[in-house]
Amino acid sequence: MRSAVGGIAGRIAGLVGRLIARVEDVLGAVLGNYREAVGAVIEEADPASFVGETLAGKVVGRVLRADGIRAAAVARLAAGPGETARRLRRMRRLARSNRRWVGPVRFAARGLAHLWGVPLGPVPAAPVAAVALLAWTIVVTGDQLDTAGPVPDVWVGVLRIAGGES
Amino acid sequence: MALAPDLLGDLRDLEGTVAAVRDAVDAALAAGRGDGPALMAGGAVAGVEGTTLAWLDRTAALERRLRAHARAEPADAEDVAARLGGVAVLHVAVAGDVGAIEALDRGDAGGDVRSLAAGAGWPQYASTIQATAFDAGLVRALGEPDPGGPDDGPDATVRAEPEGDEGPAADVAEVVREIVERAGEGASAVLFGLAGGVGEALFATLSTPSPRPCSWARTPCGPPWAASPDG
Repeated sequence: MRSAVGGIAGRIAGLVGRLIARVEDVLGAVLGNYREAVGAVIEEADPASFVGETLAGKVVGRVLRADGIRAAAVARLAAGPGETARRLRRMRRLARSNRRWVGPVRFAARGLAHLWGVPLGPVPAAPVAAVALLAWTIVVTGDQLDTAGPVPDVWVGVLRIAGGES
Repeated sequence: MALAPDLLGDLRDLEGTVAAVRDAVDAALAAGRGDGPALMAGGAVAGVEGTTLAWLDRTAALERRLRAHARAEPADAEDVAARLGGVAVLHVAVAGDVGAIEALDRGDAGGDVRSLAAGAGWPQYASTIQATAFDAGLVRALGEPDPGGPDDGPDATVRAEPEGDEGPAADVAEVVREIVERAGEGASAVLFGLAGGVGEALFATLSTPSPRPCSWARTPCGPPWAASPDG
């Protein structure tokens, strides 16, 4: 039987704390005050309404005003027909990038259940990690759609691509 | 200017670093099940701690390099932001699997992992790291060119797709639908993940035997629905 010397109390929780602190640091650098943005989105929709992927997509679409963005993007494309193919290619690249970087969130979310038992100071790690994952899905999606509201301005999103930015 | 090949190479090398965390957690979980070599709690914690700290160190250096690149090349901000977000998602996945063996925090270094694991509801494997980093391809993606950059002509990393027959409106609708549905899937998975934790905690509470021995009971032991109608 292998062994190690030294006390072990709190060392696993300490590791989780360091990992979550890094998540908050990295996402803060990319998304700014993402808690505020997630809070604003959640305020508009009952969290219970996210249960069920199809319904959740509809809720996200409503909160981010996806229908209006779609219509505005089509109108912008129509205003510059000579560039349509290039702009659509750029949009599809954006969708592929979204698939690559946002898609894995659903897998990472499987570990949240294990974080309820890990304290980060006065609160469990689970909701803190959950807010970070929600930020990386909903806030990034809002930015990539160019939705109005408390989202950062990192990506040239669907609306701006339709208008000719690249 | 795209990310330098050496930076992409170092990001690609994270595959081994995150695999080491997965394997260390798996070793602890196997010891907890009694399937693998027996481990003392101190040994299990040391293995997970060493690999997790290596993960934190290596990713910290790469996060700094990515941020420095974005400052020097603002045109690459999207690519850098995407990769940083990918690393953050991996941090959450690692935290989920490391957090699964939190019961070790309540033991003695010389205690047997198996006894600490009993009743702690440990998963079979470090499946969150495996699914996120490897099955979903996130760690491999970190070391590959991003397919989302500006359109400078044909892109070898992007598979050609036929143009839609229904005009640009259908193409735009498809892109918006895909992005929005993925956000819905992610949000739903996050809330299910949280609810799963609540459910497990509730189940653990409900399944804990009453401290009152059955022989002292005035009423039959077991849940109320197990009692006969006439008591």
